[in-house]
Formats: sequence, C-alpha cells, structure tokens
Amino acid sequence: MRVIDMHYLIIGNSAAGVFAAETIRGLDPDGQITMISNEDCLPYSRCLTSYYLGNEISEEMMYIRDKAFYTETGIDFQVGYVERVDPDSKSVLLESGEKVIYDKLLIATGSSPFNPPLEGSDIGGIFELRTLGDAKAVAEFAPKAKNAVVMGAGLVGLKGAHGLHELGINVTIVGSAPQVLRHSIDIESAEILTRLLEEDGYRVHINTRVTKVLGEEDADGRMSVSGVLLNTGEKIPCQMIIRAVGVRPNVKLVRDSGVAVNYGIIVDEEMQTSVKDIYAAGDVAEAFDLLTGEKGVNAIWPSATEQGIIAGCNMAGVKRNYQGSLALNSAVICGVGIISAGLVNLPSGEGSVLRASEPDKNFYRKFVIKDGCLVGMIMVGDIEGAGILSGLIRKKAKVDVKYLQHMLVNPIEYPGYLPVERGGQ
Amino acid sequence: MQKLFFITKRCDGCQACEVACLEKHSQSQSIFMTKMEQPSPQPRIKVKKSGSHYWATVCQHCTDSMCVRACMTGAMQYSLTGEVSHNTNKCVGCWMCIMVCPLGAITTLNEAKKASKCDLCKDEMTPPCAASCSRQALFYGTPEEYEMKVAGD
Repeated sequence: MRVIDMHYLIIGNSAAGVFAAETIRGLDPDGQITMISNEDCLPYSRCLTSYYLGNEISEEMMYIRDKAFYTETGIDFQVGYVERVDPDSKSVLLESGEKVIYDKLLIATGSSPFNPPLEGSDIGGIFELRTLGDAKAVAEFAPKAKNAVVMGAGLVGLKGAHGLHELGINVTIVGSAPQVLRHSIDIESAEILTRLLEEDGYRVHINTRVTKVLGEEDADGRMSVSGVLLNTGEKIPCQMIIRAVGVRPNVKLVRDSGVAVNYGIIVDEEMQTSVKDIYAAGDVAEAFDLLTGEKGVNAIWPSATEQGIIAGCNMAGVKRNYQGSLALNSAVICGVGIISAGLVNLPSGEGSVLRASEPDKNFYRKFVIKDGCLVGMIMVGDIEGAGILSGLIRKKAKVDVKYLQHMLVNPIEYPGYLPVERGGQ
Repeated sequence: MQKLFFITKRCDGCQACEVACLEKHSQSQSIFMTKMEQPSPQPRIKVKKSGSHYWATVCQHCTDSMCVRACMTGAMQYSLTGEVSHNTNKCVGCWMCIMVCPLGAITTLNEAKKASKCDLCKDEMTPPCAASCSRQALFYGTPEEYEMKVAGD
C-alpha cells in the first residue's frame, strides 16, 4: 500500500470541487492539493449534457476549464473511487485499496440519479442523463430511436427532452406532479411552458406515472424497449427512455464515519461537517436556506460554486461564513427564457403576490412579497435584469412596493440605488 | 485593475458612451452601418434617467463575482489581471449570469443566443465610452486612481 502525504484533499472535480481548489490555491500558493474523481477527465459542466446531446455544442465546450487547469494550478489529479472516509486516521480509502491522507478534506461528490423500482427497467434502451458518459451513451443510441419517453418533468427531464427533440426524435414527457418544473416555478408559468412544448411537438403528460416498461426482442435476441405503460392505462410506443425523476446526494463514502448525514451531509456556516477538518460542498451538502433558515440540499450550480469558495476559504484558514442557499433557476424552453428565484409558492394566506401575464406573448412575471420584503420571483419571456430582483431577495431588504409594481410590466433596471423603503434596512 | 467608474453628478444623459460602445462592438466599426448588421450589435453600457439623475449600467468587474459563480459553462472567468472576461465561444445563452448580476449589467443577444457585457475594450488605451464622454462622467482607471482624482470633487 502506497501512502501519500498531502494537505488538501478534494473528492469530486465538478463545480464545488473546482471552485474550492481555485480558492485554496489563491490563498495558499504552497499547499498541496489533490483532487480525486471517478471520472477521468477535465472538469466539465453537467448542466451542459443536454446541449451536447442535442448537438448544440461540441464535447470540448463541455469543459469548464482548459487543458492546463491541473498543471497551472498545481493540482495533483487522481482518478479513483473513494469508498470510505476514515476521520480517525485522517485518510480516505479508494476502491483500488490505495489510502490517501489529508489534513483538510472536502467532500464534493455531488449527487446521482435516483430511480425508484420500475417493472421492466432492466431492458436495454433505458438511460440517465447526468454525466458526460451518460450523454455519450444516449447520443450513441439516439439514431436508433424514433420515439422517446422522458420520465420526469423537472429541469433535467425538460432539458433532456429538448436534446432528443433537437435530434428529430418524437418526445413524450411524463411527470408525476401536477405541473412541469414543480420545484422552481408556479402553475401559471408551468402552463405557459407546457403549451410552448406542445406547440413544438412534444407530448406532455402531467399527473401521470410510468408503471411498466414494455420490451421486445430485437434482431440480436436482446430485450429492448418498445414502449411504456402509464397508470392511466395508455401505452406509449418508444425505443428509448430517459429516467430523470430526481437525484440523491452521494453520501455512501461517509457511512459509519461519524460524519452526520440527514438527507445530504450536514454542514455548518463554514461548510464544515460534524467532524473537524472535513468539509462538504455542492449537491452532496445539506446547508441551510437563506430565506427560511431550514436545512436542505439546494442542488444548483451557483450554490455549488459558492459553497466551494466558502469551503476553500475556511480550509485555507480564512474564515468566511455562508449566507445560505437561495433557490435560483434559469432555463430556456422552446426559445423562451424562464428565471425563478427564492420562494415562488408561499402557503395560502402568507404574503402577497404581484402578477402580470400575457400568455399569448409568452410573458409572465410574478413577485412574491412577505413582510415588506421581496422573497420570490418568476420571470418568463423578457428576463433581462432578473439579477436585480434576485439581489433584492438576497439582501432581504424592505422593498418599495411601487418600484415592484413598476418593474412588473417595465424593463427591469437598476436605478443607481437600492429601491428600499424609507426606514428599511 | 483598471475599470470604469460612473460619476452620477457629472452625467447629463447624452448617451455618447452608448454610441461609442455600439460602434466599437459592431463588425463594421461604423455607427452608420450598425443598423444593417446581423446579428445587430448592442451597447454594453446603458444610460437611463432615474428620478432627477442619470445612471449608467455597466459591468463593474466585481472581485467576488456572482456571474463567474453562476456561469455553468466556464464562459465567465477572471482574467489574470482580475477583470471578469466573457468568452462568447463558450456561452450557450442559459442566462444564469443575468439571473444573478445585481446591477443588471449583462444583457441578452437573443439572435446569437449569447450574453453580452462590458469587456473594457482591452485593445484600446481608454475604452471608447470613457473617451467619448465630454463631461468626464466615466472614469477609466484603478480604484486608487479613482479615489485620488475623482472622489474628492
């Protein structure tokens, strides 16, 4: 067994890992940084897999850092799968049997698709869309398919559907929720999106589940997908399926290690876990919500990078506190931009809502106000200036309602000062 | 790092900066031809009346930049000298940067499906917007130079 001495160890080379490594390198030019990933490639963006699938970008454009990244930043990159973290000996154990020692450890292992049991799910032609490898597998299989079913109407599902649609495949989206994008937008904006998708030739089933995958023997005698059966009794013929119903944090490596896990790995304001010198960031970390203070995983790119930066600072000895995660989502569906931020659906009776809607122009805006503060917003169509509003949500300042009423139907512009109420923060 | 500072009280809203920016970022490098160009160029600085004063919205090249953190393609990155540079080849038009920029300084080029923001015209001694500002409401320099030369007046 080879034992290597080092200082900073980062597991995972996506958003949180990369931003943490760069932050550490900026603060500690001499520290030893090792990154371990089970994917042997440069850091790439998982958000771009659907763009790659739809031939909108090349593989090269998937990479968020160029070829010189590891050498220029002096990062020792290793390929390996971390099986276990052992805080007592301050080391991690790789699947290969190798042991890697750390002084400060960052767990940025992300999340993996979660697939509930489904009859017939062992048949060929069923895919996930998470990694570059997944995207390549889907792209390779896609020419054999005329019809596809996408299970899940969240962002991954809709983007995956878009990628297949770009390849000329007839796509049916099946979502169990009463609307598309249920975690990021409200029912009114979801209706606009559903109409846009249907106009573009997608079939969208909401309130529906796939209960069984139907298969048939192909020319080689292997079983491959021939369709799905819905809980409504309807059969949809298809040659391929993408499962995108949700993800779960990759927490297996800390099992029985003493690192506290709820849904994700629980972290404090410094992104440190319950065990000293072990930090977590990104989709695997359970931090707290900026607005509600509730613990939860906010699996979005901007949170991952911010958490990576905060973790990197604290690992390098520069104290910096995380302000909490803000739900933020941006997507372009059928050429129409949608941005949402914060709490877009308050329980009835709480707060107030400003709304402007012109469905035939694909324009929709909703501002959610609570206790005089803007706490959530949705913009469909003209999305310029969205950051001004998400900035106001982040600031938790009392906002002048007249300003918001004006912004509801006009271009959103920064007026050179914060449009907060007198006496506000 | 040099960047653009806007001095509200000097601005009279003439928008010469917008015109200079538009010309500089056009293919033809001529303000008279910009209207014909496809995709049509957009100014990266915008002057608006706000109450009794004017305000120019332009990228401030933040040191802990929200857009760099939010960019999912790696198109927004810090240059070696600290500016926030936007690599339009990498940009896919996901609008994540627009979602977080608290100044609203990033705009959409819808035809090209790319975001657009101030690049400080690094091939010029002084960015054309600042050079064209007859009232010197746009100051190009380091924060220290700005403090010394402008803040006191």
